[in-house]
Amino acid sequence: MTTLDEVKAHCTRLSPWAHLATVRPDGQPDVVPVHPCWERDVLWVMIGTDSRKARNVATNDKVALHWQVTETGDGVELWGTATLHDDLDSKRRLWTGVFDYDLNAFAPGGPDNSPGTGFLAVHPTKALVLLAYGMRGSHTWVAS
Amino acid sequence: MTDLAAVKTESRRYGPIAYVATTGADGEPHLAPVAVSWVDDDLYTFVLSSGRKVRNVRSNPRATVHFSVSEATGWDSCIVWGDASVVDTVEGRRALWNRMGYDLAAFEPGGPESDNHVFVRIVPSRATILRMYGLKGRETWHA
Repeated sequence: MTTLDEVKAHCTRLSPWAHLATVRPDGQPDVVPVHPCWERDVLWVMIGTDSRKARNVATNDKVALHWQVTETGDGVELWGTATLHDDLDSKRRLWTGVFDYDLNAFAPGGPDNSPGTGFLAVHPTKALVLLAYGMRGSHTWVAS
Repeated sequence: MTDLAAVKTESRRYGPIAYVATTGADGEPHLAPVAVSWVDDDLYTFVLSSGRKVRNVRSNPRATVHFSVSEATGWDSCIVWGDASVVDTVEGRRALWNRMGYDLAAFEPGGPESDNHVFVRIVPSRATILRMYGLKGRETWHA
């Protein structure tokens, strides 16, 4: 067993990028690369409000993320539930100080003039840290 | 619109590791980085028979493959959706054993006769190629 703080530290060491999986109503998964950022124990992802992942989460809030594995096969998979936030207060709060890249590069209108932009909050429920694809061990975390 | 041959060629730019998503019986997705190989027009991965991917595919025969994204490939993406099945017979494993492009014996010394490993077959139904996350265009294919 490990802690969520240790999981977050592993994620940070691995890569800024992760693959996010969501599920359609018919059970088909979708995968997309994202650049998530932590705010305390919530993982945020900037998304389009009419994107496939936003529509999937509206019908099935279960998601999984897998950070890009290193050359030696170290990786982290994290599961959680997701909620969509596109209200102005949330957007203004998240626009600066949470993400480690400039959101204006993707939504030049900023929080006040980007109607198609929102944020996905992933609330982690469990995580698996794998070393060398699990051949050198693994650590699990489960929310209490 | 593109064709499957172009998707296969494009997918090889990203290296052998891809992120394969499956869905559990409870609707929870699972993502795993695995080596995938094209055999004719289908994608295959060689995995532990006791693994979650196999359990998921047995209860929900759908999978999605997202090839690795990186700066080296200009942040392009190649995504393949398909119908998945488990190849768990000795005959099926023998037919695929030497077609994956790497030595499977390094992972399964028991050879194709061992039930410890199986192949997951993904028959593509559609694919999308995104240029720089889609900002520079996209190409799609449907079966």
